[in-house]
Amino acid sequence: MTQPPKILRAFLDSICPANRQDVKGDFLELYQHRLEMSGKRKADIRFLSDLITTLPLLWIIKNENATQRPKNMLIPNLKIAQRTLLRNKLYTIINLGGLSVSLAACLLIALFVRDETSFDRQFKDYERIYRLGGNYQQGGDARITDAATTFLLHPLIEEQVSGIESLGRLDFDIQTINIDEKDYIEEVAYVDSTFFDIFSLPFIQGDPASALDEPSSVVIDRQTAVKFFGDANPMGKSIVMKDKLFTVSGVMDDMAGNVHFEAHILFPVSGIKRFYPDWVLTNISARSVYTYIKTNRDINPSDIKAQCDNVIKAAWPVDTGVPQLFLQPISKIHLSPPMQGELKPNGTETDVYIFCITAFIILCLACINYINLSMAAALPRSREAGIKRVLGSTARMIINQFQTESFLVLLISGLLALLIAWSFMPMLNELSGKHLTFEPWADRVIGFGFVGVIVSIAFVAGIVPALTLLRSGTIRMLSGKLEFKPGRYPISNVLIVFQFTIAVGLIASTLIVMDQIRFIRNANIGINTEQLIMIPMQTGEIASKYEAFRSELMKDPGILSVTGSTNKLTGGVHGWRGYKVNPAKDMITIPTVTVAHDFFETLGAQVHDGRTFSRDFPSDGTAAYVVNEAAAELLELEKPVGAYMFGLAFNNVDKWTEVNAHIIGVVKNFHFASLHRRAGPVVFSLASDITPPVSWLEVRIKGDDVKGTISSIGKVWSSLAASRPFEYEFMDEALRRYYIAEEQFMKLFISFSLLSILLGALGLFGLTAFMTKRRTKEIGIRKVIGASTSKLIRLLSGDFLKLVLIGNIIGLPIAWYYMDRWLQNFVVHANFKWWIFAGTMVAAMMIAFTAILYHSMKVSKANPVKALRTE
Amino acid sequence: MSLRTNIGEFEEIVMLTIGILGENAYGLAIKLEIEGRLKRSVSMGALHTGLYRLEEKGYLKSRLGEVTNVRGGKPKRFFKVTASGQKAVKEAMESRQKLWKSIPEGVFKIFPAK
Repeated sequence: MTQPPKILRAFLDSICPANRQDVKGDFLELYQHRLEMSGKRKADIRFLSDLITTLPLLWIIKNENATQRPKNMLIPNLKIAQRTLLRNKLYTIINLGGLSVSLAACLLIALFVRDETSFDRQFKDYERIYRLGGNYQQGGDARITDAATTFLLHPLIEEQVSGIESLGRLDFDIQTINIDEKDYIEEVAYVDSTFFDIFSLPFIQGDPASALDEPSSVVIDRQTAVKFFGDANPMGKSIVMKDKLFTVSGVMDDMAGNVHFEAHILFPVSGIKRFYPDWVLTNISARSVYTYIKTNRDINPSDIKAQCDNVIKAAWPVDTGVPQLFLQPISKIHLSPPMQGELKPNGTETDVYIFCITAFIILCLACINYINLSMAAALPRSREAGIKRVLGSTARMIINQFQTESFLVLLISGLLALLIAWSFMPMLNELSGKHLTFEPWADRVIGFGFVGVIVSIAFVAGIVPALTLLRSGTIRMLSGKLEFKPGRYPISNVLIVFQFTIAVGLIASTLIVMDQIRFIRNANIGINTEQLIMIPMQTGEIASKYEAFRSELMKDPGILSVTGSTNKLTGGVHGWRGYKVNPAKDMITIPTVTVAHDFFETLGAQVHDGRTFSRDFPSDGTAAYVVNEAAAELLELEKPVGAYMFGLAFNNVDKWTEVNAHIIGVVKNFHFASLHRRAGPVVFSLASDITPPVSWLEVRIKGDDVKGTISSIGKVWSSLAASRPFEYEFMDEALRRYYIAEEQFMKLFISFSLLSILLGALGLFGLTAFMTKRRTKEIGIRKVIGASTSKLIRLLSGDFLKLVLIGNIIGLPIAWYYMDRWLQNFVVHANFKWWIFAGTMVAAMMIAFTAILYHSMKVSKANPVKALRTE
Repeated sequence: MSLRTNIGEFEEIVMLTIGILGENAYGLAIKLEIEGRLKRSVSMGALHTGLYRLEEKGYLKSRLGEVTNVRGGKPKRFFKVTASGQKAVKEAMESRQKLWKSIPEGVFKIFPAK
């Protein structure tokens, strides 16, 4: 008799239920039949296809040879789970607490990361939308990358570049807007009429395609409409800006937070063009507007870039210093390194990675805890499982029982986590500066991810203890002699070490971050920023009264000195101008700060050589420069003081003046802005007719009556500039704002490291609880023989502390490595302090020891007679 | 189509075929009989699933035959239609006939002209 091939027979064996041997017989008989009818090959093939059609039989015909069991063990299993959880309340609380807090933390991180990575992706065809940026020559070989472009590029590109679907500009300004005789000071946007073709912003009223076609039209968003017009229909209403009448032609929905710019009131460029100063309209090297390009389908952006390069090259007045233009996909803007002129603070890709990793680590820690604890809790129940096994439970049934319990725990923790995350939402928004709403279910990725994570933890956490029990064999399970001891199950050792590696690493990193931030705050940046008030002179008219301000303010005994500058000092340095110290050489561009008399004295900057601007030298205004050391170095001057320097002054309106001047002094470098950047070269010029007027007042006050002095400055202000409200800012506070990112980072780090050490401690606490219970008798005997309490504690905690120590040894170098790299972000940074590491180590050991101590103490101090009676 | 009994067309065919085969109604014989009489192919999976389902419903009962050396030493399982099974087939037939009879003359062109 010919048999089917061996592999097919094996397949048949595996398919046919044991109690259905007749099916097998039918198959073999049919095979014989076909063999005779149509040959072996065909018989084999049809045998296989028949086998496949028979596959469902596996599920339909249940294995009736197995022991009889209740159809559904879910309810009994749930009951067992409920009893176990209620019996070990401590264990349950530790598990629920640890899991729900960690899940909540992960959920919050997920919301944050999703928002960060979703920037500008809500626009239709966002892959085809680009922002045109440029790389510009600046100060010798230095280059600067700017997100803004010249106003003039738009018409040139429109004429000469092909492959573009739509092209539009975006610009922002602060303007006074008049509605029904009421003034509002608002940030307004100027956009081309094509703006809404590029950015598909949803409209509530009006047609986005044509809303800005009329030069006198204006589009506002919903919140602005409510603010200006209340409940009335805003369509067709009038808005007056600079005495020109605009009519509301569209209302768009409020923009989402995850867009790289924010606009509430949008005027068409065609309508406001005449408000622009000449330099914007005529100077191709000016950079003031943002240009966006939506390319045609199937166009390679590099084609467009090449065409734009040609355009700018042709239009650039000189051969040198032609900027390099580039197309930046809008979806990449938010997480790219910020350029000059970004419209919103950028996120960083590194932060997103760090958060993802942190979420993952927190999840790992929570899982480890849970698995460890459920293992420790399962071992004392070995007898229960053993008896079940003897009575005929399959391994699957035991696993099911444990998984029912873990699913129950995870379900409750999941719900708790939602609650916790919801209540911490305001904190996340405060820390991240976002306005997120708590709707994890609205985001499919987060929703499914959350459920997926819960299910997988429940699955693994149920299977590990069950398998540990099952592997030890039924007899040993029945003997009830399985006990949880570190060292017995290597997996839990690894887990404890891992937990403490993470916790210790995070604590050390947090301390280093805190130390660095403290260091920056107290760092000597070359000037004295305390008690220094910066006051914007908001209009040209107010600025023209600088001298009057100065003399009025100086009358106040609380004011030490007064000076002025054309820029906000903490805004960094701008005003790049070309200079020449040697007529034979090229111009070198260096940022220029135009200041009033007493500038260096007021700031407390140190003069390195020469003198500063003085009223005794009337020519200082047109023939003198002060440079800082970095500038002197850049200009390659060996003896800078007295050196000739040629420069150009611009009054910011219409007039460039050639200046033949000498350097009168060199000041030491000082920082204007953040310590992320090195203090660069700066040229200082004295404000005069050929420069813009000073528009910021800097006032150094005495520290004894800050409030009184400020109110007296306010009085001076209202006497001289009553039309505008008095605004001021302390320089040290303004500088501190540069480190908000670091401070937020620090706050998050503190929360995470607290969470991780808490999880670690909770885990140890739970583990020792089980361990000491199991060893009650042993301890009793030891005590009777004469062990002292302290010796017993050492015995009980030693095993665990060894693991914590290993965690330290691994975690600290890792923290050291990464934090060293982080510190490279700063020009100045605090030295590594050995005590941070030593302190972390001691703290971690202390926390671990405290967690262990409670239960160890309890057993060690108990009356040994009681311990020995536990049978 | 069955109306009040819950058997499907294939199940009806299987039960009728078992009736035809009488004492010799075992899996493969049923399959070959259906294929031979109705010129349709019956997969092993469908047949055995159907047989198992019908047995669960109580329309069929089975007994194992003797173990012999043919068929790889596997027994045959012989099926018999139970009383409730016979009732179910009968009901299926009757309900079908009731419907047939209610069709007005001339609507279905397949009736031979009277």
